[in-house]
Amino acid sequence: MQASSEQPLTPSRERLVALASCAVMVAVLAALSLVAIPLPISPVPMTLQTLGVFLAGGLLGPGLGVLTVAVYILVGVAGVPVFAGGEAGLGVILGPKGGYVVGFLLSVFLVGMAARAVGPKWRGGRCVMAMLVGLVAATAVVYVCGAGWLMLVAGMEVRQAIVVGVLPFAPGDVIKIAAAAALIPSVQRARALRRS
Amino acid sequence: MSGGCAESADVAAGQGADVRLRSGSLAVGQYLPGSSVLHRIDPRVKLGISVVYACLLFVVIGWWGMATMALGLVAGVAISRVPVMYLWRFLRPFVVILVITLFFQAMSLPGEVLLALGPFRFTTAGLAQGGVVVTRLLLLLLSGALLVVTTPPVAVTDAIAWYFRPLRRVGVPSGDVALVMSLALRFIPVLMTESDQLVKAQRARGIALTIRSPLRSGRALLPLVVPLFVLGFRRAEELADAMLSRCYRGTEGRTHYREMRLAPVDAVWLLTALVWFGCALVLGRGWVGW
Repeated sequence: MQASSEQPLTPSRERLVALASCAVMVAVLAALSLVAIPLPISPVPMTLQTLGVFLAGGLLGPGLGVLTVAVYILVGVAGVPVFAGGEAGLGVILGPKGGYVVGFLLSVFLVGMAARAVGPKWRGGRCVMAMLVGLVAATAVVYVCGAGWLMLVAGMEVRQAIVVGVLPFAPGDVIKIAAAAALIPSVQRARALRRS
Repeated sequence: MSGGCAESADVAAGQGADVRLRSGSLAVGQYLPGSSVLHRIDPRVKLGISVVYACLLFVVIGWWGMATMALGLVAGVAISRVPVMYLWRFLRPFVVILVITLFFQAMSLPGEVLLALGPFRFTTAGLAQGGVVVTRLLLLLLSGALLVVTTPPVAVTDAIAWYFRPLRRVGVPSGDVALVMSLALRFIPVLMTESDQLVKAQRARGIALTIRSPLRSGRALLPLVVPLFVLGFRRAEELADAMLSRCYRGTEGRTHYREMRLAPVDAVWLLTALVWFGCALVLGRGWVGW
């Protein structure tokens, strides 16, 4: 991943495909952030933004996953409406909801590490359990960053930040964790089928 | 040869901008073409000023500093000649959370009770502090919006890539970040259209994209997410092959279709901003004894 002077000028096909996949994942992440699904159990509609972050980590691995989320944030800062609900700009990152977006950087890394630990063999309950642990940890990190930033920026107390910034999203996130654990192997299988 | 490659890649990014403008759902909260002084400032200077401004908002405390910060931003909005209603669209999604913030802040401090509604006691001191916090957040959102409204995304990403360049020495793959950013700008409108078509296509097949039980959620999203990823990764491979067959040679020493040049005017604006930030600091931190 390092751009040093010893590296040949023309990048290898593998490397270029990896970088192009990151760009595509940024676009997929943007598309998923705009999808809003109404939930019968929560007043907040669920966006698929965190699902996209989980999938980026699970499919690209920790390094490329972090690159993907970093570029997603930068493109949003540059004014393309890629954040949840079609928001954009530097104010979104530093504003009240900014902690979640920055938390994605850590969570994509965690999911990537979990996916790497689990490896390409996906059969068996133990692998699913390991993936679930990684996903729950990633979600917890997003909550800590999001609620922590909310406390800092909006001057809320812990309990207020949890009521405003964690509880409304919890039902959707349970769904997304389950979905990510099911989807990551499906997409990998579909890609493997296409290659062969 | 490599110059030609770079040019075609940048032109491709330019076409992406066109597609984006044509797609209806993406037109919200976007760059508004114009010819004002603010539109013409070098994007690097604009980005730098915006970032410093945003950071300064957290350093400056009290009404005097906030007023200085707000005054400068209002002047900027006036110079840009962007309709106020256009900027309001950036703030609207945050109204609820700002009201909640003010509500909590107004109760947080003890003191003279201004208004008591049942268990809620709003104090004057709390309301004043909440006012500062909400003003800070509003200015933060507005300044980010002003940058985005007066600068095309490609120019901002070029500016970001320029600021990232020195970070290469500490191991940040800045060339990769720049490449992925320009490719992402090109891919976003394409995949937005494709996901829109996917939703319609799956609905036409009678698939309901609503979730009834958490246990079956993965299955419910399967017909949407799996094709989206498979399509996306196929495009990535096609793009990599296309770039290699057009002799793409990496980001090192690549030329640009649009060169960023600092004009004397930019120095004037930079100086103005510095003076303005200085004033805000002096007034905001109470460094003048009055």
